Amino acid sequence: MASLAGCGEPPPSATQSATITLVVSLVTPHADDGALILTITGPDLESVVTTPYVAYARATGSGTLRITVVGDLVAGPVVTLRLSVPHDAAAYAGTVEQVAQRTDTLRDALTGYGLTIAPAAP
Amino acid sequence: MRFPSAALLSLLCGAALPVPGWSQHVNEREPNDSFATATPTAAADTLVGVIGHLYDRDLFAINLPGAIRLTVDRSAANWRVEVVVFDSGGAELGQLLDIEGTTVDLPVLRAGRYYIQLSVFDQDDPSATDGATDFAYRIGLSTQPEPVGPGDPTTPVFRNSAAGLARPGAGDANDLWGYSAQGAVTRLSPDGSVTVLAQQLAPSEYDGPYGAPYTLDRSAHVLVPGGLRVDDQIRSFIWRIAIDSGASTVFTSGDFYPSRLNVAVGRDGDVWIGPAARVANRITTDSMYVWRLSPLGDPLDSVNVSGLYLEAIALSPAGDLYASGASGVFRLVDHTVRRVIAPVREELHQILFDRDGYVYVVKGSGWNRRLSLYDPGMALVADTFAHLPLAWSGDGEGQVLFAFDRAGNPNGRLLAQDASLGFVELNPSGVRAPGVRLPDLLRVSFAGNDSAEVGEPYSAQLQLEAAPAATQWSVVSGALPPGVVLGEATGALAGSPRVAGWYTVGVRAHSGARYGFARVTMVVAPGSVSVEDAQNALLGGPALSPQNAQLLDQIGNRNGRFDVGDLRAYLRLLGRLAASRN
Repeated sequence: MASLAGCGEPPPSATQSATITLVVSLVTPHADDGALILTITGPDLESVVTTPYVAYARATGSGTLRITVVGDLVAGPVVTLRLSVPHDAAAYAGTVEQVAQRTDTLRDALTGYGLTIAPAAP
Repeated sequence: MRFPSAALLSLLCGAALPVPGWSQHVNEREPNDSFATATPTAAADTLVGVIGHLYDRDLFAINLPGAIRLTVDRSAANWRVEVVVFDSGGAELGQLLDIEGTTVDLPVLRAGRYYIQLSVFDQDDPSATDGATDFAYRIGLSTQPEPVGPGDPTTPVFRNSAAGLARPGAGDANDLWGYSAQGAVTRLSPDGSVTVLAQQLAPSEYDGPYGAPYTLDRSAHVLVPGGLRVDDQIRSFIWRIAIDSGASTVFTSGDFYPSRLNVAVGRDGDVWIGPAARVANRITTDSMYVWRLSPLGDPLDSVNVSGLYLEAIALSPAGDLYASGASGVFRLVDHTVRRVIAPVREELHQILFDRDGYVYVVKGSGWNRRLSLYDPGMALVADTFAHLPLAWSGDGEGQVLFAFDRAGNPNGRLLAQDASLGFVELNPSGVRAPGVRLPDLLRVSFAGNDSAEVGEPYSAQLQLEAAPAATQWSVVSGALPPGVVLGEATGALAGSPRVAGWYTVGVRAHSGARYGFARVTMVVAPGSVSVEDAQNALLGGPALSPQNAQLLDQIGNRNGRFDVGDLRAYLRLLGRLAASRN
């Protein structure tokens, strides 16, 4: 599995406020990604609300949402999540579990992959 | 420098003893080491003299009338005396070295002055000459009439020694293709310029050169036999190289040995390669085959030609396969091998059809190579159509080919390779018709979905673009999904597939004298695989059945497991993934 995210972000400050939507962004060393499986963990995850790609989410337990994202992926936002209860973004973490190239070939190594999770812009 | 012995000196001074058995003796007159100082002689003379000192050579000049066969008989000379015959320009016409028998027997077609050179190989090496230093000789000359064919005489063309094309093939633009001495696929233009299209396409272990390159679709691509050593195993390929970019792709690979492989293309676009042994037993000649491939390189058929000692293949304008070699010319149709031309006293080699189905056959060897012409019924028209130059020794009996003009049309020029890897052109006034220019394949269009579902109605339509007449369709490789059929007269693919899977078929279209070919791929999905099920399976939900997981993997990256790459391929197949690869 690749690096997690949320980590690497500045720690939540006292001025950060709770949010109802989170933007999950992809960090990738490649320019030819074609499909991903992501796992997002944190409280009160509800659903994927927007994506520039083809995405499908499935809750796999309390506080875990797994998502497939398919398309000609580029670094940056991949899905926007809705929470059932507002929380700080710092309460969430994400992992890249599987990546395929645009040729459909599965990548053997996921070094350099990561996710950042941030509040959606108001 | 060493001088002749006293006894032999008398010979050099004109006091030669009479030599029984010859009507007229010509004693060499030193100095005669150059064309300018050559001793005059005439046909039916006996040349008498001595190679008497280191690096000595004796030259005799002879005026010949043309259209004769000159025989230089060495049987009454020391066997170490070597004979070389030159024309007036200094070009070597024939030679007889120390181990090659007793006579030079070669046609002389043009009247002119010729030179006969006598020398001793390794004269300065006592171990090679048994210590002898003087080599007396008596060389008999004789002539007889030689038939001159309509393709005689030949004229040197494409003289570019830097090119040195081995295994040449005719291009579509009045150019030639072949292998350079360095193994590069090379193009030789009429102006003598040389272009390297692709570097070595085979490992050095191969005893190249390989088969002659074959140009396709009006010089857009060239097919080149070659090979590679992969994991210590020889793998043979036919490369398909784009002429404009040099980009090469594998047209086909298989168990054929590519050395000296012939490539021939039929009117239907099928590519024939061979004769060749299988790689596993290429040393033997008892397992030779000719393979038939689709226009896209799919194996279609093979013909066992074991025991026929074949060296070349060719397709008649009607599309029938012929092969030739030491034991004759054979017609190979419907797996029936029938000899249509039998050799008489000499071996047969390459064959070449003209536009009208007349066939040229290379016969003989050495300086006595010639081209014979047969009519489409294989009746002999001219046993000596033309005399051919000495072939390059590394290329069997050399190549004879028709050239094409810059527009890709046959121009009636008939070329033959010579020993210098240059070419001669046969007398164009004697060439009865140009070579065969096959029409390009017509394009086949496909309208419909390339995915289907078990039990659901499916239809798609194939169409031969610019078809000149009603089109007949047939599946020539692979198999359609059970339940789907191709309409022979309509080109319609229709039915309800019964078995899930991945199907690839080669489809041929035939309309009048034109053909088309397409490779059609269909994926038949089991009705029960929904995208949601597939996604859930990837995300920890209920697993797909092994059959469905395998099917989606086959649609995708075929790595033996169902993964997100397979999901991507499946979405694309279903049209749910816009603006993506493929």
